[in-house]
Amino acid sequence: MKGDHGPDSGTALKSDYKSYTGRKVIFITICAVAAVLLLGLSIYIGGSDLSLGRIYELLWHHLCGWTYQKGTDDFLDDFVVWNVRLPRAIFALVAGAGLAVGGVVMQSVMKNPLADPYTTGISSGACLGVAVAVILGLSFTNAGIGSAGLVLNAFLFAVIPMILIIIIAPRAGSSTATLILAGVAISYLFNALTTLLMMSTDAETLSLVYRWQVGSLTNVKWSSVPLMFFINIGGILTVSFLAARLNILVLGDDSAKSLGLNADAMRVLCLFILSLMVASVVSYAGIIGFIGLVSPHIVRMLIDADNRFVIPASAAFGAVFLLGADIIARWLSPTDAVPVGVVLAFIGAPIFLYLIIRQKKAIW
Amino acid sequence: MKSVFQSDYMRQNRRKIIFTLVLIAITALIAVYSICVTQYPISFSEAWQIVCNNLDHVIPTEYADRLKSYIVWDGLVPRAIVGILVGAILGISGAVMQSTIRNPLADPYTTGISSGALLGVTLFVLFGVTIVPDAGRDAGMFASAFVFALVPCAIIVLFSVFRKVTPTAMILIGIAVMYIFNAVTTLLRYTCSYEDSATIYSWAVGTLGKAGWSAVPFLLSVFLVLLATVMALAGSINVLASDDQAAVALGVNPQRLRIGCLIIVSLATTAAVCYTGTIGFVGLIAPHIARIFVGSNNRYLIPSSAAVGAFILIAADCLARVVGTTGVPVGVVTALVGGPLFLLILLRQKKSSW
Repeated sequence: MKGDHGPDSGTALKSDYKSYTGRKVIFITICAVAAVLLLGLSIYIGGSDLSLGRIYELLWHHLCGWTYQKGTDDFLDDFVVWNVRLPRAIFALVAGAGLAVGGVVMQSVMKNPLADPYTTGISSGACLGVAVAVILGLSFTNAGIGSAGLVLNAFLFAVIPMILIIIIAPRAGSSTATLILAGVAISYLFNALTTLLMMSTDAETLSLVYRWQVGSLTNVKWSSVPLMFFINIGGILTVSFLAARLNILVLGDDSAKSLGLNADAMRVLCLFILSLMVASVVSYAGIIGFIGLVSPHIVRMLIDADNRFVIPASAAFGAVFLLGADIIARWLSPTDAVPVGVVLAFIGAPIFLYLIIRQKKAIW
Repeated sequence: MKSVFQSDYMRQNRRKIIFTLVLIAITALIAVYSICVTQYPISFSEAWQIVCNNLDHVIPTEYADRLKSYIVWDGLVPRAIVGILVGAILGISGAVMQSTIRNPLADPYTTGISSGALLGVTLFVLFGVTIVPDAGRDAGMFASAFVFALVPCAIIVLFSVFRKVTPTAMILIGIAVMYIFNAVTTLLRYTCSYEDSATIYSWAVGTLGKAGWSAVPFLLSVFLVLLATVMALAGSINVLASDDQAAVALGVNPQRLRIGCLIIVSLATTAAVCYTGTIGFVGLIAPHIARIFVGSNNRYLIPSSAAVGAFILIAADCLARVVGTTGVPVGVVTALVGGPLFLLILLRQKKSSW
């Protein structure tokens, strides 16, 4: 690193490089193992007493297709594990990964470290959708918290800012600042509409919308999982495939052009994928903040800024981070009085602060 | 050749100054007219007369006149002045913040001021936590908001003094603190009663209506001090905008200047926030609009950002009063009208100033 010019500097560099690569592999492996362990722990924590071994046993049996007599203890245990706790844990894993990757992509596309998955206004769109459903009662089906009507409304409204941004993106030219500012203006616009609606309603409805805004995994059921699962896994895989091109995009539009990459098309494609991923998470779980902004930074500080590693590592880290925070939130309050976003901030912010202060070289 | 360039340069500068002056004139006109924009039937000449009477210390005898005098002199006039001052403070703060941090996303609240102030208000509303004992409700809330608003900034400064951190890292520190504060606020609001939550919410939205004459001298001095300091530093801030190494080569200590600007801006913004609540968007877009018209030279950018900020806020406030008799918050109007307008200006500009 310091520019050794000895005879064996080549091998030194090589071993240096290998140790870096090793670190990346170790990081991703640790996160993956932690995810499996936390999955068990997440199912373990809760009202009824089941041992950790019993949980893995029940899961395995269910996968093998065992069924139990209705009303027996086994049936009840199986129901709690498989239908109540497992969907929530899986949702947390996939949503965490999706939001973290969304953060990586947004920061790379916008070339701005302060960008997060919600920079283009997806969250404010979804929030307006929910406010419209709850306060004005405009939705396709009945709209209570967690109902299908609410989810659909949130999703449809979250897509509006995405469409606007995709229309604007080619016109903004090479200036990502213009794109970001357009996103911010759209966010403000939607937030203002939400505020307008919220001003006119009573305190109880206000509180309902507010609770949705804060974000929580309380209302996650099996029915919440499939759509969000496929969009996010598909999105993460596609983005991983595009990682090398994202690296080029970060260099700037001129470099991208000389390397044979159509920067405008790439930006639009990335924004499209990322918006769908984030919108699908937000419509079920509300606005879970912090994770999308911070996970990529933590990963970059721990390993490297190369997107080919940052994307899978952020996905792994985000999954563990959200699931872990959800476990802690449920452990603190079994009745879900502590929103998961609060726990994320309380755990994540000090770690983040420590890493910022400790790091030697600037990555941004 | 030199004289051609020179006259060209002078002409450009003159255009920038004229832009700023025209905007100031329009703002002043709107502000004067705004003293009769209200839900009560008061004509402009009547309102003008009331202002003249009050300046002459003439106290009206009839009850109806006294009421009108109260509405205009104690409500609308200070409201217009506060609007101009707060808009200008937010505009300047946004411009300085964006230039020193070198990020177009920065705004006056980037150091976490809004989250701190909101936490202060929440603690005050829910638990009566107050910094000044035995102060009245408003003063207690003010003090609590003020002190908590400055905590994130203090943490940033503390870290920046002892460690060498990049501008981005400074902002990220602020964001981390902001998230912790917001988490505490969320947790408290999640468990509190509907009424308390509504009180906090109405504070968070931000309005010009609550600040009376008592706010004017304080805000005016804050504005003047801010403008004077920042204009004196404008040349150095220009150097800072290129990059840190260039700044060192040109004899500016980038870190010290950045921290100094951060502190000044945070103090000024906090003063504004405590009287009006968090009025968003103005501090972010005013410098961008100004930048599109006058460019990135801070000597011109700072005063014209102040003018744009004041113009946006006072115009939005008037519009809010015309549209909603029940009091649409000014932040909502700013975003509803300013948002699309800003998008339009943004997309029509030829070259980016960033």
